[in-house]
Amino acid sequence: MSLLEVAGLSVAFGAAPPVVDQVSFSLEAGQSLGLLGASGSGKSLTALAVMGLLPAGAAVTGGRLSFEGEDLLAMDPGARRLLRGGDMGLVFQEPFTALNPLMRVGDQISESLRLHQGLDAAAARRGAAEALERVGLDPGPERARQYPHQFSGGMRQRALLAMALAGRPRLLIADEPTTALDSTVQAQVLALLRRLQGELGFALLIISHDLAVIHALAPRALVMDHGAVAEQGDVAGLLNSPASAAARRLMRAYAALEGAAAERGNP
Amino acid sequence: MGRPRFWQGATLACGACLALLALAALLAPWVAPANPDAIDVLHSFGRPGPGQWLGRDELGRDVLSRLLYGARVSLGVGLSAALGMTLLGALLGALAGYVGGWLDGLIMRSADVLMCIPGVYLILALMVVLGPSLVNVVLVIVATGWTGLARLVRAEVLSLKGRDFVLAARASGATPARVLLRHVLPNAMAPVYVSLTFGVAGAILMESSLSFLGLGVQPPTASWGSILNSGRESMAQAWWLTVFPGLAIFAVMMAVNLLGEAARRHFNPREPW
Amino acid sequence: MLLRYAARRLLMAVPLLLGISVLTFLLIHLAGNPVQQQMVMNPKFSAASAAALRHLYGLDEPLPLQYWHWLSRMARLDFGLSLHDQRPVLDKIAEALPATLLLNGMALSLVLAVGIPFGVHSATHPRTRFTRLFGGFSFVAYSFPVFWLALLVQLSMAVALGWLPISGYTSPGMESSTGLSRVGDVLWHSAAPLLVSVLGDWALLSRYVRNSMFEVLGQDFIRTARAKGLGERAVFWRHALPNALLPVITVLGLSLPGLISGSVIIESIFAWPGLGRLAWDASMGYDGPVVMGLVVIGALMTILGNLAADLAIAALDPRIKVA
Repeated sequence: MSLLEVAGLSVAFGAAPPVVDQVSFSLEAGQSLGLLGASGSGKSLTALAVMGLLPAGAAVTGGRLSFEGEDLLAMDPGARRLLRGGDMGLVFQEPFTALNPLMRVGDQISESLRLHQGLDAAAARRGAAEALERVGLDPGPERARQYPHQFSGGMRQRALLAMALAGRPRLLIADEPTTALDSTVQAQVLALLRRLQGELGFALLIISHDLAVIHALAPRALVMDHGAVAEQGDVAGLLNSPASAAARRLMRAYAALEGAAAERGNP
Repeated sequence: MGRPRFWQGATLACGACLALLALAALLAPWVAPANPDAIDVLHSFGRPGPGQWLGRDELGRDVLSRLLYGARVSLGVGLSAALGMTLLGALLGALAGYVGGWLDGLIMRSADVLMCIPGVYLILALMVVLGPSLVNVVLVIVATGWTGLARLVRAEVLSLKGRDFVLAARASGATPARVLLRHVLPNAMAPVYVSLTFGVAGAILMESSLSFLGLGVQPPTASWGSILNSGRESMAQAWWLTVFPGLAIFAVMMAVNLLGEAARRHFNPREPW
Repeated sequence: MLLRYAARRLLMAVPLLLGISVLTFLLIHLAGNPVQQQMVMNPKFSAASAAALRHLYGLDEPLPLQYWHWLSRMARLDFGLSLHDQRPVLDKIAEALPATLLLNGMALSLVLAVGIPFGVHSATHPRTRFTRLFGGFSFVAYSFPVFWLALLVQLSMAVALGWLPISGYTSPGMESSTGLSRVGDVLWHSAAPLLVSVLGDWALLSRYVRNSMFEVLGQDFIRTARAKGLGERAVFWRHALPNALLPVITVLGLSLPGLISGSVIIESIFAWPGLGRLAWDASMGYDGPVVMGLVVIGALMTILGNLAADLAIAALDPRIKVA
């Protein structure tokens, strides 16, 4: 039984044509899978559908979603909510606005710990400090007392990771986790993700328009285009011999960037 | 209520009604059924009915005619005060933003001082100093109302000053005045239109309030506010003296505010409502 | 830390106060010569009396010196004597203040108590019929001329239905009563003016709250909170509401001067003996000293109100640098 099974998932806004069209994939425990596509290809909406966080007006119009064998769509909403932030974690791409500006960073992590692990206030505070240190934000207790505006973009992304991992998820979905960051910081965050996956053993669904990001984290990827899956396979295979038009477009863009970088003398 | 067609329709309807009212006010001498100043004590407090559709006041004057002539005052003051206030505010704001330096400091500090004093008190103080009259009401509204728009326009001008097309205009040797008037100001107009429309509503309200309090127009000139005021004592016997003038003010305010709201939605990114 | 911030802001207020002193001085002088006014009103006014009066008002001194006198008097809140009854202006203002504070304090509490829930509800339930109706009603309330509303309330509640007193602070014969009966009497008298002042402000505040809440609900950190698995209640109370109410505090601070200045219209229609009524009486009677005193006190209150709002925001919003 796969950890996450998505079969023929379709999502639409009202009566409009589907924005996610018959998407199917599966993810085993501890494995990584990439979701590659240009903006508007429906990859983020797929992730939101899996988490049950679709925006107002959008709904799942077909297909099956199951997590650890249980049907997510038929589940009691309360139970599904507890999965969120618990067994299923999600990290978004907007570190600058994804944290509550009026709450200390540590408190935002404690909130998750208290909800999913039932810790009391003191234990949750310690847990939050530890979580921050685990993502490289030392010293934990001091960082926990700070507010989001005191963190840089990279630091905030790490804090968001700490928050998503606080519930000890079996599945982590990372939607464009590095897009808003500088390239050096990007590399750091990607390395962090790899390390954390090694330490904590969660399955990773990495979503990005940037093949380099996916290449760094997952051996296999889906290519999405206009809501549908255009191609699936090894990342290496996609790189060398893209079969679909969408994949080819993405590879060309990637190659152009790589070529330009090579010309500038960057590794 | 965020649908654009609703607002287009509303704008048209309000605009048409207001235009009609303005026309009626302008043509008051020909449209009014009676002389607004004609005293007819025999018919004082006449109830609304044929020949005196909105009733008569304490001196037997026809309310409908007085309202029509009063429209001239209210609309006239409203429009001229709003125009004056908007022009002054836009000009001072643009100068402050564009020229900067001591002029900016002077204009903005003056605005700060004016905005410190509760509007009501300032207006009353000015009316006491200048004496009650229609012209003074307009002057007072302009003198106290320019500050808000000045701040908005200054902010817009400041942000536009550094833009490429402005730099290009300056590089081509245009005089500062020309750059300001032809290039900068036209792009800063959004808050001006909105402020103008809401300004008219505010000015009409202010004039009616002042006239109501006895500090605006002086008898025998009729203003909607002053008619309301004179109807106060006889409120119990002659409800029409309280209802109709107020209704007129309310209707005009609603219409103008709707227009202002439509303007705001047109010029700003839409918020749902 | 906060004290230093407050001190610095107070210091910044000094040029404002100077500006106000200049403005009021100009106004006083534009208002005309009180000596001349006396001479016009009283033909038997002798030249000697005129000279004495001129000296009393300091009108025979050079202008800068006159300004200096005004400035020092203003600093002491000495606005002279009311032209109407020769009583010190400050006394009259101090007498009228409690009535206004009472009325406006109650109005503000009501507006907050009703406006915030309404605003929040219409933001969290955006497309319901209730919200649409409320939106329309708000718009009407906001366009409604206050004095007309006051008159209509008087007409319907007091005159036609007799439920509420027409005007005044207390019923005839109750002026010297104390305790519960007096409180009840005053409250009964305040119902009508309260109703009028609350209606307009409530529409504005709930609209403001609605917009703020709406903006906050669209922010990313709300999505993060939901992604953490928090229930709607926790998302609302712990994340959305605090962020949405913060700008409302600014608005409150800005409305403090209105709290002090009192509504001239409402107080004069309902004969409520507060600052607004004092202002109107003084304006009608051309009582310059009282009007100027009110202007200065009003400005002081505005400055203090803004400071209070700034301090509150600085204390509550960790993003504001207080150092």
